[in-house]
Amino acid sequence: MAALLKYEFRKTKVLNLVILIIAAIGEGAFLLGSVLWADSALLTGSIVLTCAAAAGFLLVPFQSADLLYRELNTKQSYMLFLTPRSPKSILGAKILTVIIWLAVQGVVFGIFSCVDAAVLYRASGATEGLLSALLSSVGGAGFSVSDLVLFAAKIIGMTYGFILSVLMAYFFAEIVQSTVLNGRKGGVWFSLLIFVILFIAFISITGRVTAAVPEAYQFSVAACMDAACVVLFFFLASSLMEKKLSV
Amino acid sequence: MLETKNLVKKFGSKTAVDDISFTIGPGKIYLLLGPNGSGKTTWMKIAATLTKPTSGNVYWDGKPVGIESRKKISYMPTESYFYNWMRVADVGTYYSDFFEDFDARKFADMLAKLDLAPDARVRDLSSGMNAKLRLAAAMSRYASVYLLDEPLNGIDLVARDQVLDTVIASMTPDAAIVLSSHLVEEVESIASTAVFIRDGKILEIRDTEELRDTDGQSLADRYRLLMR
Repeated sequence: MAALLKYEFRKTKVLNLVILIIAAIGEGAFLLGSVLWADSALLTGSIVLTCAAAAGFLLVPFQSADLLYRELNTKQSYMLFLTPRSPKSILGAKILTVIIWLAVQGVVFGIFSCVDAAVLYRASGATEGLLSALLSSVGGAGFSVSDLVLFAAKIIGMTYGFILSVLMAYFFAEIVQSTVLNGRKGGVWFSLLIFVILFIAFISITGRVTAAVPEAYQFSVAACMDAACVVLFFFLASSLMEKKLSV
Repeated sequence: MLETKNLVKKFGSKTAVDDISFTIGPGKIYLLLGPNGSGKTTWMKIAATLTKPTSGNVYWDGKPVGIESRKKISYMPTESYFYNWMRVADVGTYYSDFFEDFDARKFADMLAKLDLAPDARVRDLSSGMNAKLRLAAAMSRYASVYLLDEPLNGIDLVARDQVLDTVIASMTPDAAIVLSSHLVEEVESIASTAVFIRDGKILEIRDTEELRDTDGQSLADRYRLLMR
């Protein structure tokens, strides 16, 4: 697994480093704008940071899906499938790489957020009263900073879970495509079609299940559904790779 | 060692391998001979676990080929397959990371012999140089079976001698080498057993020495006779 992870990181590092570097530049501009009250730098920094964060969440899994497609449908597949590693290890390394990159981005953007909030708070001369008012407008009366952090963590967790379940479903679709078409034309569209069908089914089932439970449990149920989706498609995909896939 | 039993592989309506059975034993160099599309590469890819059979199977030590057999079988494909971002030395590192039987020093020696610069980029290599790299990677393992698919393809005349020397040097009483080639006259001298295959079927399996002594035929003569 270590060797697989080593090369998965090597294959994906350029995009991730570019995103982090762009984010760092945006952060620099934002901090400069905060300290000097330079509106253009503040605005530029904000836009760059928002775009980098969004790009990270979208492009990391997209790159992983694109990489798997190319590996399944070109001779580069031999690099993975000649090694004495099981399909579970190969897929596991890919999904773990995505998780780690998203976590790294999460930590980096989280640190940036905290620094930016602290710098803005000091630079603006805002009072605790103003901060409480702002927090209340977000989460109601008594909503504290720790509540905000928990809320943010919940949203991030939900997003991660959703991204991973979508990615694993797309991996499965690509493996079905590669098994059936075996390098023939139309692979991208075929895997997209399978994915869309799976996605619609998953959203429909998740929606019905979460609607049937009390609101307090809906988040937990949705998280469990995401986890179940990842596990289900992981085992289906690796089983297909082991028994049917020819490269 | 490596046993093929009733192996069939179909690609749609085309039968690439049609119910073949034979055994690869240690201490021999096998030559797969047949025209284009006869099933040589398909058999190798099934033995290397890259392709799944339609029915029948290839068995390594009594078990269907899989993860365990990949530790013992070294395959050299005809196609270029290394990652484009790699340099020649990175290929050696990759093989070291995944194969316990890979000898990095042997790889470095082979690169020197085959005139491959370790810092050359894989994407900049000519087809002949890429073939040499594939051979160096495959033959630097201490495998039990080496499957070399057209190892002389795209390789210049002088380098072909180096390739054949490399193949012979890797021969041990415990190992088997299976190679396919259209350059019958060039590889004839190193092969101990010839497997003639056409349209997915094995026509015959002959000991090369016996063919020479008993029938007075070279492999090339026999090939022409069978494939006419």
